[in-house]
Amino acid sequence: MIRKIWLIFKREYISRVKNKVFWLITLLAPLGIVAITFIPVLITLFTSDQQNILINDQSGYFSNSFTKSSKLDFKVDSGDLDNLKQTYEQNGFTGLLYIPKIDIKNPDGLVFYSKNPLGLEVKSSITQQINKEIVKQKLVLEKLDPNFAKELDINVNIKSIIVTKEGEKAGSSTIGTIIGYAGGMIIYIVLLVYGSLVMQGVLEEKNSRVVEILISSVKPFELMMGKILGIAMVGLTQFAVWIGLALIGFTVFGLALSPALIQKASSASTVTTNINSLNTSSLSGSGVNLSNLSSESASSSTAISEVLNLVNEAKGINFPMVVIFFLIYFMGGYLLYASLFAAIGSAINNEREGGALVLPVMMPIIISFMMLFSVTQNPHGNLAVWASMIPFTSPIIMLSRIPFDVPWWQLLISVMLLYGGFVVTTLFAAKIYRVGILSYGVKPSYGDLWKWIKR
Amino acid sequence: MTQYLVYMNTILKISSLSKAYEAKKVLENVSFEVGSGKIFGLLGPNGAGKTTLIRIITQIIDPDHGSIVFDGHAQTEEDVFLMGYMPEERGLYKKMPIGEQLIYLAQLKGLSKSEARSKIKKWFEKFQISDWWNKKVEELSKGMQQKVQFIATVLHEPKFVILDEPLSGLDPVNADLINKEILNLASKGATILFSTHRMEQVEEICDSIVLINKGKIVLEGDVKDVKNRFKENIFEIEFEGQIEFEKIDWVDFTHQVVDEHRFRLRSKLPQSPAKVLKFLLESEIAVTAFKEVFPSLNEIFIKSVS
Repeated sequence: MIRKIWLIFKREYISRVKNKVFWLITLLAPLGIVAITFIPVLITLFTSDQQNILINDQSGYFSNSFTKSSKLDFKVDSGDLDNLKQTYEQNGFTGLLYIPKIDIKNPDGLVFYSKNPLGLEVKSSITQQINKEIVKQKLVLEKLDPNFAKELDINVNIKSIIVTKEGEKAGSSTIGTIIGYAGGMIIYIVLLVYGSLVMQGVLEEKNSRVVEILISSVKPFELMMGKILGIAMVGLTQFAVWIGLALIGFTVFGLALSPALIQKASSASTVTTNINSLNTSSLSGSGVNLSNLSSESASSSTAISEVLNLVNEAKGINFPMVVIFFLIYFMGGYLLYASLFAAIGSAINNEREGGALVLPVMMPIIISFMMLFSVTQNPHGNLAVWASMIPFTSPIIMLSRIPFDVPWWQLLISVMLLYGGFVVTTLFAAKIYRVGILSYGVKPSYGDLWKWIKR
Repeated sequence: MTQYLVYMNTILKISSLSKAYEAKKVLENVSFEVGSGKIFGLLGPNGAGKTTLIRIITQIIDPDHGSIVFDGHAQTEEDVFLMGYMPEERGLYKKMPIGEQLIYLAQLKGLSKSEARSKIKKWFEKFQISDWWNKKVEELSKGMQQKVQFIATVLHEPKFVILDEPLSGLDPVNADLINKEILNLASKGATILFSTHRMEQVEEICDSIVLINKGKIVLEGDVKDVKNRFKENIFEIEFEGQIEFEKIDWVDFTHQVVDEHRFRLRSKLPQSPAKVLKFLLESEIAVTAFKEVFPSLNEIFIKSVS
């Protein structure tokens, strides 16, 4: 039996890995991800897209409030609005900001004139600078030192420490969430992709009728397992290539990019320093953007400390454990679902018929994916714990909890249930498969599949 | 029919085999034996249960009842290594190179890679297709695919070869080629189970047959015996000169003129050819040729099934 499964496994693996399409996808997928992630960053890094804004200040408060940045330059002009509206474009300005004579207690009536709609980044930058000046003016009005505004630029960092019997260690909420979410998402994608591959592979053997020759030499169960394991190995090969590429990528591009990134981060923080006093609620008049703004300014002004925090947090994550459990849950989840996908593939006559039958199999995978967000937000809640025990959801959910120090007994139960579940689904699936691969013509219903199981 | 032929050397003994799918009985109490080294015809109309029977023999499916003795022992899993099966619905991997594909199928039948490779080369030379090694099945015509399929079936030199409609879809040249190879295998000692409803092929190459209809055996035995069983005591005579038919005392015979030099005799009772010939000579008929007329298997088939 082992020899036969091995032969089938080998053929499945080699024929797939020899295929040019496999290498095309394997090599292009990470390139695609890299492109999607880095191209926008590179574009912003290496293109200067400076905009000149003309400020028509009728109030007189803002003649010195606007600071030039790498992207924005300002010129204040107190001339006639109608005139400026006619000429701002010819004079090389992308937009004209009109500030009327405002009541500093209740500033209102600001208008931005431009040919194209106002970009979010430009808008928030301008609003921040105006808000900052208004705060200063209010301080003056209250007969306080305007420099006190700087003192209001407060940013508290909370360091997370995990207390265990063994001692204390750095916690990992942000980076943990990111890793948990990413891990769950990868499992979600590979379960669907490799599950479908198994289904298509079974269907192909059935439709080319080679299956009858095969099962006159091997047991249907051996054929199914050989195929499932062969495709699993293809998946592991793909991961290995990707991990290798990622390591090369991080070493080569990481070194090249990091100085530029640090520079970028620091310039971003200088633009927006000292304007974080917006949390005071006195600006209720223009309060629409307030919450938006405060979080934005906070995040950019603390970019560096945030990065350092993440690096510290990352140190608290047990990466080898994440990788090991990724492999455990990938294999367990894949094996659990692959036999079900194989059973569906054996029962149908073409891929179009597969849709209705395969939906109930895909449902738990999709539901796990939808739960992923709330689980990473509350990794020790009831939903998270239960969903990480049920074999159909545990591959995605438990993996997303791994960075959050899951109790070992939960891991143990979860892994045992998952692999136990795999044995159960495989036994059922093998019964369907055995009948399905020899059934042609009629599209079976779930009732028929149940009859096949009982046969 | 409960009585069946017993061979000196039986390779396959099927006893009381039954199989039902839900309420539908596909095979009902089927028993027969296949003699070692014989070419055995498994006949029956479409839907008679032939494919189910073959799938049980090849261990693709299990019977509900009954037993199979193969080569003197109750059938085991390893017996599939001694069998070669060419299903009616042919199938190979469309995109896999033929050489690799045949090696794979042979390995599943227990051959080592190198054994398989050297055997495939011999077959390729025999069929003059040595340049096909790296071709893909989808590049071949249907008839050519069938040659590859045949090689896949017999490559591991099985003791027992099951061929389901092996000649269907082949042109006369290739049909003849495969036919010769089937006879060749039999002459080397392999037993062939030949499933078909092309009676002229059966008559040509089968030693014995079993005919099943609606899951039951309706007829079985040596081809000669079966024909004997269905003969109607008809003799065909060719003669010279004139015969005055009305002047002859035909006793238990009835006669029917075929043309001016031929007539047929039908005996009411079974008669040996020698006796008939004696009667003809005594009646002073100038016989130039004489033969007993046997029904064709096709006639027997239709008669038994309808």
